[in-house]
Amino acid sequence: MKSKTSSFNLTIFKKSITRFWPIWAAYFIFWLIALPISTASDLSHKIRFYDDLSHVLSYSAEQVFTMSKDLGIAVGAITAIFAAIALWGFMYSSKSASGYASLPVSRRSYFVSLTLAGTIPVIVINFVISSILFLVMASYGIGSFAIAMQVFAIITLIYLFFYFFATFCAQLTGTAFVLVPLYALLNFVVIALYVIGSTFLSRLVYGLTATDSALQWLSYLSPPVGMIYGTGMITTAGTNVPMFTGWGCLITYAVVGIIFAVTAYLIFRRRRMEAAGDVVAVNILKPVFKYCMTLGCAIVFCALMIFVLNDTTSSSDLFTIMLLLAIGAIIGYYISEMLIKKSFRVFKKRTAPGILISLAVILLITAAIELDFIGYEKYVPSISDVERVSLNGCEVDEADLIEEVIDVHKAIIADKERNEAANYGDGYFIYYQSIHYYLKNGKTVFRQYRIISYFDDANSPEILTRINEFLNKPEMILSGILPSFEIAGPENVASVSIACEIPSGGTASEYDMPTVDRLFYYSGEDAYELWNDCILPDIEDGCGIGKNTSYYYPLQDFTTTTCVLYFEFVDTEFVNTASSGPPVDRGLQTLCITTDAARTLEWLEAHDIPVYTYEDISAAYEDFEMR
Amino acid sequence: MIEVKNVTKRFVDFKAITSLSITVPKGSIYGLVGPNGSGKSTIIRNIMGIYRPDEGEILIDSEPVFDNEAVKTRMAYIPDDIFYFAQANIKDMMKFYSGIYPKFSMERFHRLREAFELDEKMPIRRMSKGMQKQAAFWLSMSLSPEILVLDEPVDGLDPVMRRQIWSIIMSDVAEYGTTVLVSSHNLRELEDVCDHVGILDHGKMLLERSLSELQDNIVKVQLALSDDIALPKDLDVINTTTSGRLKTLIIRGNAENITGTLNALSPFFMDVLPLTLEEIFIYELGGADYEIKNIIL
Repeated sequence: MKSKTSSFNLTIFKKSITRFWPIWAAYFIFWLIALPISTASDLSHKIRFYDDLSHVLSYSAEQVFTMSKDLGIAVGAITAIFAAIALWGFMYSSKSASGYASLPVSRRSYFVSLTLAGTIPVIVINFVISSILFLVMASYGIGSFAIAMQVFAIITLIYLFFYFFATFCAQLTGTAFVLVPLYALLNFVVIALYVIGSTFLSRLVYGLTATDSALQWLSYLSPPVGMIYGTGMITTAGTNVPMFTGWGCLITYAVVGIIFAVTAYLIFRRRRMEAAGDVVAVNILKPVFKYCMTLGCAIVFCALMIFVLNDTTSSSDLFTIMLLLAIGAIIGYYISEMLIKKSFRVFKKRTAPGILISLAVILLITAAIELDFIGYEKYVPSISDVERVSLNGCEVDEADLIEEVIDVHKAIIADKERNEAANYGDGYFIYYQSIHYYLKNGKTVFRQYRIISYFDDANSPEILTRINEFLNKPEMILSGILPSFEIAGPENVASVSIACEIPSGGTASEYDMPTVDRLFYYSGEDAYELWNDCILPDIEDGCGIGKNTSYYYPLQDFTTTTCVLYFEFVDTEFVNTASSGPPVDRGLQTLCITTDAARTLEWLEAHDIPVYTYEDISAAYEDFEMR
Repeated sequence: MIEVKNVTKRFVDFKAITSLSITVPKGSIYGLVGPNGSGKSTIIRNIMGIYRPDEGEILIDSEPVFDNEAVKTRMAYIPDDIFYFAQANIKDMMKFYSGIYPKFSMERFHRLREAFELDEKMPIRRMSKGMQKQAAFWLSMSLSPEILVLDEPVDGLDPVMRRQIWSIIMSDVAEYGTTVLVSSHNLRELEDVCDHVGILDHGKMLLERSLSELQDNIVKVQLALSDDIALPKDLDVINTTTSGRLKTLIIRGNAENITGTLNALSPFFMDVLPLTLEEIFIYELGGADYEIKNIIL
């Protein structure tokens, strides 16, 4: 019968904290400088320039939240791995592993004591720092207990996740030399694999690419990136003091951290102390490590060699890809064998079946992907399934326009061979075309293609001309420049700023330059009038404003002026019900004015805004040089 | 009592111990002998609950040892490679152990100070290997252990200190009935102190006996007989060497009975010689096809 075991050992807890005091001291000093001292320094300057303390509070709150979340992620992640190495490092040497394991302390007791030893000092320091921050702000008359406690919660939740995660990583290996890269790798592996994997697959699969939305979702599996995405600030109308947003994100990470901690405990409870010095300390993970290394090295080596060989074609030769994959797989397989066995003598007959099976699987899958066994490349949604579609960001939902996009898509697929045949040195432009379908069943289909246009082509490829014509239809231009909300009246147009480059004129030129920049600003009725009565009718008439000029439609074709209009729109109906995001919805639009925009030019003239073409500006430069 | 029952321990690509069974009676000193790589340290780490056996079980007074605080509280372990915190001195380790082991005796710690004469404030890492061993003994004996497990304990110690340490251990055994398991690659080292000995080779127990059992059952006799007298057939002679008329016999059996039988042959000369533990093992294992000299010398 086994005796009852305790769950905590005070001696281990205290000894672990006191032994590694430099880590806690460095952490304390860092935050002391980054938060209270830096805030005090800022406030001593800012307080002189603001009469209203609420502005100072607003500024300070923004500063401390930014520091807490951004620095908190970096400092939390780094401190956590140092703490994990220090506290769990005993498992990495045979001597200390035996020393610890021979003591009358149960595994549960060790785990709880060391987990608390890695978290309690940091929590205490975070509380002290937040309290000092509160006192500093209070000494300037803007003490906010809520802000101080939010700072405490932010940096504590971030640290807790990273420490628990580092604890989990610490259980997987038997050496600190592996722990650090493993921890760094696992923190970014999902996003890195997605980017590398999709880059690699895009060479095999015509039209496949990484999507931003997938990248954003997957970023949550890479904690530092996910925390940056998932946290922010919001200024509530009325109070003017920014509030931290992203509690859901941080609490979720902390909960996930606890799951990692529990998993770490389950591994630690059964840990083999003889694994000290092993690269992989958990037996069951050794084959996982080996085959992940094999696959990972195959893809990374292949992608790297394609980059090194400067292969700029959209699709490399299948044989080359397979060869590079095979070499990468062999390298990965035998490196992992060497790491697991801690020996260079791994080239033995008994390792052959493993690598042969790996090669066969990798090469078969690669061939299947390249030969489009699942029909990914040829797939085009049927018009009846599509709710709306976006071509290069221009979204349409009318059936005839959707059909037109589908036809364009089919033409691009038919053009595959030409687009993939381009070789480096042939001299060509690459135009990236993206098509995003939103289907009626709620699914989306995204494709991105590289369309090749050679320098010596007399005309652009037919498909580019079709795309260009499609995108430059007035309704497409309007759909591209209109904000997401309706412009019902002057209240929706916050302002228009008009920037012009004009000849300086005269003999003693202004600032001794051939041209000068001028900026004009209008708001309310004026801005709305320019937008509604001039810009929109001019576009509907087919003038050059807002036209896509990417494909053999150089700017000179419709003679642009030096006037650039920056519109800012406001959605007065917008109510932010989300926990994050801005309190008002704004839209911004930048437009170059062309000489065929009659109404717009008339408005500008009526408001004494000088309008010059680039020809005029060139002439001014020539004149200046002559002088 | 320490009971090792059919324990097997595998490492990545080899089996360190195969179906090993050991019984160390309470209050005895058990010597575990074997060459380097025979599995001594592995079985000791299993006994200390550092490793978990792949097969079989290890019981201390009928309780499993692995992850068992109550059992380990009664045990002290001195490995070949002493563990201490990097910056620690003896005083620091004493404070640490006194927090971990409820039976740590300050009185005993102070009493043993005279025996070791070490600087308590000197970092242990700066001490010589012998001094580190002494420090480990000092601390371990202060735990008042019921079971003492020693892995190559006197390596690096000078003869005076060896004797000193063995005398402390022996007095503990006599006074408190401490059970001692001690490993060594040198049988001579254990000869004077052990009452039980086991020989380990390639992870298997070759032989396990109590010393008295061994010594009472084997006799070395030198004798000279007249040429026409043959040795009685019922004598279990396991080795004979002859030099002229003088024969040296190793005979299995009770010394008194054997000398009585031989005296009846009216030898010209007869002498019963003491057998070293090493010799006993050589003759006991002589027929087992083992290069026993390599194992125990």
